[in-house]
Amino acid sequence: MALAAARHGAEAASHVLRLPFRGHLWRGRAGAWLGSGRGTSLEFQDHRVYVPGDDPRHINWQAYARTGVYSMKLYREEVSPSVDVVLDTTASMILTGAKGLRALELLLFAVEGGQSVGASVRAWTLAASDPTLIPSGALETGDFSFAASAAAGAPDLARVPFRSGSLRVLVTDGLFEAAPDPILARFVAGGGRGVVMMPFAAEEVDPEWSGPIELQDCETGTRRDQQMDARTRESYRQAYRRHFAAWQDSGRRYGAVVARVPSEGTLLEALRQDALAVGAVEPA
Amino acid sequence: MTFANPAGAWALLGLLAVLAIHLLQRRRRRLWVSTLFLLEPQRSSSLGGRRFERLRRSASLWLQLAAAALFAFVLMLPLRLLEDSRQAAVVVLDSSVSMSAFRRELRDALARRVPEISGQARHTDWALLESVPGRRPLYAGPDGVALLAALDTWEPREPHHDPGAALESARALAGPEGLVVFATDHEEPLAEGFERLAVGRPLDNVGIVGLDIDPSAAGAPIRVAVRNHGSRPAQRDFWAEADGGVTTDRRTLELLPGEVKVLTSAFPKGRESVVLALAPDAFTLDDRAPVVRPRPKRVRARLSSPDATVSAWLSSLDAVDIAEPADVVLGPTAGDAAAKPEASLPAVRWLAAGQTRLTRGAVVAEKHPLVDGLAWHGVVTPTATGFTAAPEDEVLVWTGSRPLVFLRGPRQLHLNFPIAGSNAQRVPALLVLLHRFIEEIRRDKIAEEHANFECRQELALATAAADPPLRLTWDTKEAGAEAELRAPWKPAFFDVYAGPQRRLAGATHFADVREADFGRAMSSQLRAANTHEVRRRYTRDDPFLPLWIGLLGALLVADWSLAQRGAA
Repeated sequence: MALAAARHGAEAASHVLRLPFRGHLWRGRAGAWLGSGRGTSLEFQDHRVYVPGDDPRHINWQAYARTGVYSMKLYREEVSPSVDVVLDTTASMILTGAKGLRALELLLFAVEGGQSVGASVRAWTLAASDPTLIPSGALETGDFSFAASAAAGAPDLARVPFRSGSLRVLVTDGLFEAAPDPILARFVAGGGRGVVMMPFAAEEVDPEWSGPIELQDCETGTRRDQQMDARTRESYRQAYRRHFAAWQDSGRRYGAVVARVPSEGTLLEALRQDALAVGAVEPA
Repeated sequence: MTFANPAGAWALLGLLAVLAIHLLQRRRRRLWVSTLFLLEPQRSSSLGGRRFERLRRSASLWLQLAAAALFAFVLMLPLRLLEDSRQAAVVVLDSSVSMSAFRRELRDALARRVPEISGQARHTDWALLESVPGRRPLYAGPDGVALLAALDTWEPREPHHDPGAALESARALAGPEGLVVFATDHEEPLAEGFERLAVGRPLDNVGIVGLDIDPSAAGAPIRVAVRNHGSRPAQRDFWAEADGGVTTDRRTLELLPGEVKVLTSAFPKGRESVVLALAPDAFTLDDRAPVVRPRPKRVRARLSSPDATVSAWLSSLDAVDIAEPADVVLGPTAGDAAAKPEASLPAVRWLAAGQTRLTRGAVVAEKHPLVDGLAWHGVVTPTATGFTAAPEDEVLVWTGSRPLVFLRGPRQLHLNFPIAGSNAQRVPALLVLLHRFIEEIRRDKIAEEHANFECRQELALATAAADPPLRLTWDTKEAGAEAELRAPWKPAFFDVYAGPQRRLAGATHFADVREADFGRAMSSQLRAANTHEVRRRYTRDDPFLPLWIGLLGALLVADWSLAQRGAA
């Protein structure tokens, strides 16, 4: 049921937006996207002098007529990019039902959006340090369920076999104490382009805590008695803003796009708020 | 200070409610979060003390607690005692022996109630009475503590009785506006204006309810009845104790609820007394029954002429001997002319002879203890001239217009017919009349006897005009002079002396079944209907009441303000 609902949201968004394939030279098998090398696309790239062995179909006959010298027209290579998607499955990702659904929508948006443009897509679930490849077709057949793992902490991306030059999409809420720099450095290593989609719930941003309450960490189970008042809540809000500002700064340093995606509203509305602006998605 | 509405103190439960709400509120506010690491830890405290510490630091809690306490205080309607207020309070103690099982409960209940009553007026005139009219007050004075101390001198010793007269005396003593408290162990119905303080509770009591001795049988066997007054099956040890701590006849009894078992015991060999005992329970008065071997006063009779019929009559009586000096003379006489009554000696006389013709006419008995209930119909006697009744004679039985049986003087019983030739010896009425007459003589005889009595039983002992006052001693105590001579109120051996001469050696056992049955015992308190009026009579409203109400409002506003600030 959740998967069907998520697919519905992802498809609605995919009609308007997609992953940022444009503006980047990809590597990979022949496809529809400009590669970083020379190829057979219609996109002119350069001229050079003909050498035996070149394909005579690419001799620039107009230039020969003018100059009497055989010269070749070189065209841009067209490839199919690789897309590696990682879904953080720690318990905080499903703190609320809306947040869990949004995370699932982002996974499907990335996987199915990549597949729709002919990209080679691989997806993993990752709970801290244990990546699991989602079997090909599992998302289409519904043979996949998004359940929280008992593991806690930051995702260990070193264990994920990212492909060289791939577009990498990390769906995580970023709610762990670890600094973002090491994570993003690992994320974009090997020439990949990184996009971090960070779903969040409104009650995480501005909780309505008041009076004496007992807080329990949804991942570690740690309990803490807290007397919540206006001052404490303001202190929390500042810490929250600082935490995600650090992610944004780190993303800029490592060339990764960090986009925050609210859990409320449709996926399309949510992506339009921040992800479109920062380039995590682009018009389809 | 006192309160017009003490029931308002129940509102103090609001304190617990406030505490519970704060604790439960905290339970409900346990939240699962994903951003705990973003919150600055507050001052740490031990796990065990965290809850208390949090409560202690909650200003809202303290404000609400203060408001709840103040609300209860206002609800109780505080009153100020008038400086010159004075009330009378009389406590009437139910002196039934059953109260002996609840002395501690009574003291505790009065220890709670007396200060409450004292608090109703500036001065209280106390009186502590027993439920038997005519007794001196146990305490009279202004000190409630002294009243409680006087309880220690009180011995509930009376059988079941009506406390009405004592309550009327108490009402007269307290006045129409005074307070009368009746302390008892059951739900005694009381008239309006009285307060009942019942301190009892059902007890599973097993006790001796009666005994009987047949002195004419070999060994004088004692038949003793034991009853389980409780509502559950009971098991008790039973034994007989003789002097020197010798115990015999030990056995274990099992009794169903309400069951009575009759046991047969005996005097230890060579002993004249014994104590039959049950293992003690909450009510101990009926657990021990002292018993003496009965020895009635013996009556000596003189037969003026040998007569087989009269001898047979006398042999049917207990403790009657044909011996001298005689207490009574029995014999025939020829009539008035021959009769020479010995005025100082009781006598039974009848005619020596009569005619062969039998008398006719209805036989009618007068109303007299000697012939009460006896059937004289069918008595047939020979006609005889017989005695002529004098005006001062007391005729007991008539046949027609002729006196058949009459008393001459206090102790001269005349049978106005010859026994020979009559059927009187086959009529039970004549034999019973003779028994009663001899028993009267025995009762009036001055001699020592041994007998068993129930507690508080009246002792009827014959005394001579020259005798000193009778003196009863028991348990090394000497009973005070009372209008009526009664057996001790609790099981004991006792003696009655006239000067140095012992007249009675006795033993008492408890046999008041109503007092031994605690099935109706219960605890309850019924306040007088005019309690509110009495309280208002001695008090005025607390002048600071508006201040308390204002303070209560201020506390509530402060708490609300605090809540608003917390939510902001």
